[in-house]
Amino acid sequence: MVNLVVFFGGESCEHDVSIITGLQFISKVNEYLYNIIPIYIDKNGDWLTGKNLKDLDNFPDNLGKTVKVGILDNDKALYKIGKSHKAKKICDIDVAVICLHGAGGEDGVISASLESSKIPYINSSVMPSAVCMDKIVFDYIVAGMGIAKVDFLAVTKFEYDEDKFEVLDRIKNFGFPIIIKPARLGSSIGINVCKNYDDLERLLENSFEFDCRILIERYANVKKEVNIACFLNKNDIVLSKTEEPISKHEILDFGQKYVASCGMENMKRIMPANISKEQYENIVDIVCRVYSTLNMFGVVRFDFFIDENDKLYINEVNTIPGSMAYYLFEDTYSYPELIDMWLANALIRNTNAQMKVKDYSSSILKQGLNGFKK
Amino acid sequence: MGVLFDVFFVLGVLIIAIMNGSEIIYYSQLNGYNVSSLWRSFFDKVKDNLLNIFMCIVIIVTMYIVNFQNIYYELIYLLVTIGVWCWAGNQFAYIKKIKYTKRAIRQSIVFLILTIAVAILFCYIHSFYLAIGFPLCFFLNYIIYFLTMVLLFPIEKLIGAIYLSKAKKKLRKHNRLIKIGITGSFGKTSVKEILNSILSQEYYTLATPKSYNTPFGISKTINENLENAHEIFVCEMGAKKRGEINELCKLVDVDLGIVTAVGRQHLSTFGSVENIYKTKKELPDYLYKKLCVFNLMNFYTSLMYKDFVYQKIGVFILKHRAIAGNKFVVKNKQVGLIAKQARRAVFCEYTKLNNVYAKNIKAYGAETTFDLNYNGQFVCKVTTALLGVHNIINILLASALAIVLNVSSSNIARGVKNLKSINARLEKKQNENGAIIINNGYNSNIDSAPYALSVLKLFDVKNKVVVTPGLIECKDDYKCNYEFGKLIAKHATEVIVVKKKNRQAIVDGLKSQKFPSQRIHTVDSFESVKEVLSKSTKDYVFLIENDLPDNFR
Repeated sequence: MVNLVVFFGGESCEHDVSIITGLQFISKVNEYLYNIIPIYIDKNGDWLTGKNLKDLDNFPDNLGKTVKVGILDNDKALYKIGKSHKAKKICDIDVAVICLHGAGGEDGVISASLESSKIPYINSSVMPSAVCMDKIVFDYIVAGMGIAKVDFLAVTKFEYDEDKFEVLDRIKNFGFPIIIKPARLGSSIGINVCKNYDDLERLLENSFEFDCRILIERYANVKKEVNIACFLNKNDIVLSKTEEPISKHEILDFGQKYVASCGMENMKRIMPANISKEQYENIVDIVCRVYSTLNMFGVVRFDFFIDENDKLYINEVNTIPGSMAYYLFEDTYSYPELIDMWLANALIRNTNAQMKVKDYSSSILKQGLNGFKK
Repeated sequence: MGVLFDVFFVLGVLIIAIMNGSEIIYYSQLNGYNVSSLWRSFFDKVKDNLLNIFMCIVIIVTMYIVNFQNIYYELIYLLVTIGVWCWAGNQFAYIKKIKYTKRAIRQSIVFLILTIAVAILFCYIHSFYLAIGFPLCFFLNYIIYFLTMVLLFPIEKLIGAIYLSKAKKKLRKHNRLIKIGITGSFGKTSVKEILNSILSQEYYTLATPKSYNTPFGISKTINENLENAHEIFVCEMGAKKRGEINELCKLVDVDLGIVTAVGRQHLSTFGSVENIYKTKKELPDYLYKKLCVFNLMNFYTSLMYKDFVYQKIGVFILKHRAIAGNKFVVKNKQVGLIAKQARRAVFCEYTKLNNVYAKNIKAYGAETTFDLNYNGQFVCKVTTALLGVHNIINILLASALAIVLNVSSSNIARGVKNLKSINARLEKKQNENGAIIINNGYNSNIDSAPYALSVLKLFDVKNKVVVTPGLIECKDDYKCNYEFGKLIAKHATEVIVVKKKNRQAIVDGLKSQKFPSQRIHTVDSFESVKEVLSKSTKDYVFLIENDLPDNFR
């Protein structure tokens, strides 16, 4: 039996969504091949495991008997952390799945932990996760690659505190209307649309409550949004169908995305999206370029939009999409099939990484410390 | 005299035992804790130390004649003999050289305990020990070590059996593992590395590391590295006697097999080529209703291919089309080098049906490319940094199994391309000046040596130097190395012969082909060659053919 660990929950704003993603995943894993170990990260950041955690009805109050767990560097095993912080090994971990959304889960923090422990996992590694979580860095990279993106401007709290009016003027010169986004928060939280200079200071300071770095983007009249997902399967990129989510609001807000209709998967959508062949090929080209340049891995969802002039822009990329974007592949692969493919690829990825040369012999130690001595 | 002297005596015996014993245990470890090799190293040691033994006998006789009573004379006697043995040279060095595995530690401890026991026993045989005790230590150590081996024998057997059964149980518990066995006289490790590289593109694979191909090496891999998540286990199987391959097949319970070649490797332990053939055949014999891949370019394995009644794939290199239809006659002579080794099979009929073969081969020093075909159809174009035409056969053998396991053609090509070199098998390196050094240090033999030497042809360089200590474990060492010398003369411009063992034979072989004697260099160890290797300039290519471990001089 292969020991499979699934992380969900998390300290971010998307804690509850992550629980849904995680439990959906767990329910579709083949029980005869994999021994599932759920790790629920509660709102304090503790990693907990227990029998009741596989059932949605037990959340949030009826978790039952849970055990605090953790992992160690260079050790593919799960440890129970008892009283007085004694660690006792529970079992080996063969492969891990991260179903966390938002900061602390989707930004590479957990990936880094798993890399340090040399545990295979199905999600993107540290760099792509961090880049895609940070809207400012992502925008710069995408612009550097020559991919169509709305004009943007980055503002930090440091600059704002130093010289408030310089910043406000800079934004004024940038022009209105704009969208003000905190750099590292997902799911449309803390985002404000600013139509004129009068509201700017208030909305800017509101966004600064969420992050010390702010992205200012030119407000585009979105005609339609287009999403597509993909993953790497044995050196080939597998693309999903495109979808066009339908919304009533100007931009999808948190309420729309998650509260009203129980998750991204149940939102109204057109699949495949109503776009021209050229636009589709453009999308596929961008997706493949970004996926390979940023060394992504596992299932990733790319969000695009088309403005009133029919121009295609990339909006953002999610390295851990809601519900692992299984609904986008529904026509070609069932969820259990997807899971089998992702897990198999995770195991191979580790072998390939280990085969790369890492050690170089050098005689630098013989040179001495150049005068430094205790 | 009393207790004080007895204590000194036992200590002295112990010091000599440690000095001498560490050397005995070191060589024993290298030879696999073998009793027959123990006697061989004993006689070698006697030959090397005749002077010391003579000196000690002189000391005994003098002391006996003098018949000292004073304790001081006895102490001097003790110190002098210990001194003589230390003068025998650097004995304590062997203590560091031993690899302290659990088995070596067991042997060392039992050896020392027995030594102390015997020494104390001697203390009670009064008039005897003074005269004989010390110098006899030399012979005594060998006898005591032999006793150690005898005493430990049942324990080692038990520990070994437990270790093997642990591995067997772990394998049985694994319900989804595909187990592949690779055997043959040569090419096993190369095929294993290539197969591992290809399969890792699509499956979570575990392969036996380095050259582990014995029951203990394989069990170690299983016990330490096999995980529940592994999908394929690639196992290299080696043997020195009849029945050993069958043992490994039963241990691992293989599902698929590859037989690379039958040659004259380890002929001294097998006895005859017939025995080697029958031993390698134990793998396909074990594969009841399963699939096996055979090398059709080797006479014996092509016989196995004909005898095998279940699913089989043969690999060959296509050079010449003779008859119309699906049957292609490969005129072995025209494939050149490979044919010369399969002297008995000048014409072999091979069919493209269900077989894997290579076409359009372009071999250079930098890389080799060819078209991989299966069952009459093109699969993919393969590029490899591995040198030589025989590596093409190794790649074909690995690819055949990969095709059976549904690896995509692009992943087969990718897997082969990613493998830059195999450790000490025609491993190509360059020194600072651009001179190319090909390290083929691993277990050469008269059948694979021609392949290795022909690799020199691929390099367009003026000076082609072969560095070699000669071949070992042949039926007739002299004849083998004479043939080897003749072969080298055809391919190299200069030769460096290392160590004494096969020097005469190789030099004779070279001279018979009128190889210029000023181009023949002889050295005593590889250390002296290392400087030449690092300082040589761009117009040199070195082929290091075979590397002898310390248990050969």
